[in-house]
Amino acid sequence: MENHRSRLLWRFLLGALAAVLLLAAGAGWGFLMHARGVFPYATLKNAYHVLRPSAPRSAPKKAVHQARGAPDSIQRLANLPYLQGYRVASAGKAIRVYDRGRAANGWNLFASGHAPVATLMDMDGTVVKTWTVDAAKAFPDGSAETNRHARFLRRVHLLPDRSILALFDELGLVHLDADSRILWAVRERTHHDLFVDPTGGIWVISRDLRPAPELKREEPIWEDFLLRLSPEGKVLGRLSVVQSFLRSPYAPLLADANSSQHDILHTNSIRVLDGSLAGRSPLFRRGNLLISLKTINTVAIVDPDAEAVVWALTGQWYAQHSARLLATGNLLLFDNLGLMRPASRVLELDPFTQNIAWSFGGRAGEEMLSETSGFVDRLPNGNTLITESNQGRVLEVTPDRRIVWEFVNPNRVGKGDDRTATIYEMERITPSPSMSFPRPAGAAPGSGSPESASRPASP
Amino acid sequence: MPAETRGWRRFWIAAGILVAMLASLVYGYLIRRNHYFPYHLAIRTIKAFQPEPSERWHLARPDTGAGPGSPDHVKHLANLPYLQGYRPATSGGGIRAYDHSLAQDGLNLFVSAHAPVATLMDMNGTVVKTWTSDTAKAFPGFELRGPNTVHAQFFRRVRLTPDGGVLAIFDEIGLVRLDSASRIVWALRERVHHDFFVDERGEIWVLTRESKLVPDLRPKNPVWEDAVVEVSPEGRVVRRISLLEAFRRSSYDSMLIRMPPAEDIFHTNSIQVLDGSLADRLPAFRKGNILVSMPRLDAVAVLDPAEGRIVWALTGQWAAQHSAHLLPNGNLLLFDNLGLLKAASRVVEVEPLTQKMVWSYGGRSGEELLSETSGWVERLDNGNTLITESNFGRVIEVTPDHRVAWEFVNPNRAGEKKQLVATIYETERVGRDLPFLKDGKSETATGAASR
Repeated sequence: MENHRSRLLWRFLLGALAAVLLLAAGAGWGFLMHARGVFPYATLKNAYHVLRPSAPRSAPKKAVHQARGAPDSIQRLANLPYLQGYRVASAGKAIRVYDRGRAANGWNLFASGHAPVATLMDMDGTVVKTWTVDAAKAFPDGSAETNRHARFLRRVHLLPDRSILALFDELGLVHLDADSRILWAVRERTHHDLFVDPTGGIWVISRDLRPAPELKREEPIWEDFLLRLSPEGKVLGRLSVVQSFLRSPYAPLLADANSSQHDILHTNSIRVLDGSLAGRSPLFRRGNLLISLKTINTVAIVDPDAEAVVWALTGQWYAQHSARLLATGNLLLFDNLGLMRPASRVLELDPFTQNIAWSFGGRAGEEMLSETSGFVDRLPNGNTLITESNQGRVLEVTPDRRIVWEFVNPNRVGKGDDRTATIYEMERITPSPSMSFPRPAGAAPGSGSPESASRPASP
Repeated sequence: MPAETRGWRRFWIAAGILVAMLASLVYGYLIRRNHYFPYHLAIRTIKAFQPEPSERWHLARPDTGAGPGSPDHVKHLANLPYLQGYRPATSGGGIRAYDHSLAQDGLNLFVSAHAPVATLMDMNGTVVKTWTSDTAKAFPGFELRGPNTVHAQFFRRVRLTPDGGVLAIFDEIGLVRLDSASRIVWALRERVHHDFFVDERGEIWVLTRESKLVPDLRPKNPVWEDAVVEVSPEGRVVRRISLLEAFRRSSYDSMLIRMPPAEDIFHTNSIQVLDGSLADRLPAFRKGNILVSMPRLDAVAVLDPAEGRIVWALTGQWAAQHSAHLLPNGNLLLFDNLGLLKAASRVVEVEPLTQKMVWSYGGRSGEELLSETSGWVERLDNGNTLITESNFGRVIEVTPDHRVAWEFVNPNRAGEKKQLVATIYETERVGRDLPFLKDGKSETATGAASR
């Protein structure tokens, strides 16, 4: 009896010891999983990336309170995914404000998130012309069917012969003639922006996923490239933005990129400098490329011959888009979240003294918010055309910050068409005699797309 | 017991073990990630068995004949822990190079982390004068705890005063004013750190820090809020300008995104009050504005003390930098600890508006330089540059065309085989015509260099 009890006790003690050791070993393993990334850390992480929903459950509402956000919450805003629409639509006319005396006259070219259509619209909101393309026809390899970016054009550019360059995010670039016939299509992971230089050469941003041991990263990165294309759509050159940084004294900026992010640069605008400001600084010489890099909040100039960054600036903006150099030598950009609260602004600043010469947004009466995307252009009369992308709203403001033209996208997307379609960017085209468009009868904004034909576009 | 039941029992035991192990795996992960119990207990226990050495030492750079080690050697050294070393050093201390025709004449004021002593040494390595102090005398009743037991072992920064005394920082403990005979004139108890600057009125501008909860910046954990504090020549605090608030009030607010997740969000490490001679280049450089270096943001910034606001900032071509100063020629000179993204430091001179790199030293063959932390640089009157490679306890004077005109290695050693060299935080070259040396009483013995 006594013997049996002591045996039981021993068994119990041994069992308890084994259990404790087992648990300690488990905890130790778990500790090392976090500290060293031992198995199955990478497996679980990859599984999470695959299973994670790619879009938020509910689109954020326009922020009512303008309280300062903690950097973390601002960071979250900057990483919203692309959607066809973000905001609950409000009823009202498409053209909300039009001061004929002060607004710059012209046509408005824009891409809207509701359909793969480029729209040319006059100042009164009447559609002059549309171009449309079916991604499945442009890219017959089947890639368009699985890609949600096939549903809209990310960037469009009007050429003098009334043809259009249209960029599908992650799918490729298409050249459409004046009747929307596909002239050529390039299958590349293009994204965000393109630029056509005076000789007709095309520059477009693209990317590829690759491992990056030289950056001491275990996970792969999206390496951005600047592609140079011939007017016929042939890829002539491919310049790595990552390598351009590593080759330059600005390499430390790469080290700042959030290590958990694959998209370490998120290049989102490109302009080829025309050399008119080369007298001001050799950095602005003809052919150099001005790019905007959202992840590292940096605007940079790349010398395409040296394939190296020759200048970069960061500090007064956050998650910016649409950087361009003005004739004055100032830098103009859309600063999505640099106010560190849910409010965007447009900044014009001297790239050397960093003095802010002009800004719009962030003040009372200048409410503006596009957490992602956003576009800005300076017009010939000195006004500024601002695309508040996620609101589907475009406004033209004077130098003294009066709104002289305002457009809200009448196109709807989402369940029950309850959301205003995103406008990625709007450009004001100055009418010229060489470019004329016969006005289609009874057209409304956005009516050129096969999808929206069945949907009444204007409320 | 029927076999079927026993089978089920085994199944449940196995399942229980599996679930328990899985739970412990998750809990172990969370211990590291969220610092769950017993994370802090374990850290404290480990620390108790690894007592932190006092003072500040680094494995001496081995002597390969001509000078500093090969790049491979440097890389190897960079991976060694700071304050411990196992290999004997063969390099001797003292003056290693001196080209009389190239070097700027003067006296060298430096602090070495082997003891709370400031040393004034001539170009040949002879000690001219020393000052020393003691936290027990300067701050009676102040109990040294934690890192402060280390900080009390050396001066972090000293500057001469016209009467032959010095102002000296005990890191995190306070600022002391010593007279020519090292008597304490006054002592100010503040969490001062890294650097201070004395302006033409004699006002002292010193860097301080304070642990503070800033909920809208970081909801749960406190951060160290760095400040610039103006101290009167008599040692009274005149005003305090928070650098964190200065950023948040400015258009450079978004630079705070670059903050590391650690408590020490800025680690501000140098301060220069601008004299206004460069105001015509940039209004931000007007007289009285203050240039600071923030390695945790990889940024240098200019503070307008009147408005308590950052009015200019720059980053891009350096990382974890120290010792940022605007030169009379309008360029920015700084010690770039890790901007080459490898185990090599460099000194860069950059035009602050165009960002053009005008001059640099380090990172090329024959220009081995590495101080992962600390580091100091100043431009001398003859155009040479005096570089303090702090962690190796080495100071070099280089000409504009990169020739080494003078080299000094700290002779203060520790360890059984003298393999550890004391850090030199910074070295300043001062003129020989110091009024307090005119009476001919020059101390030649018993200072830092002979210990």
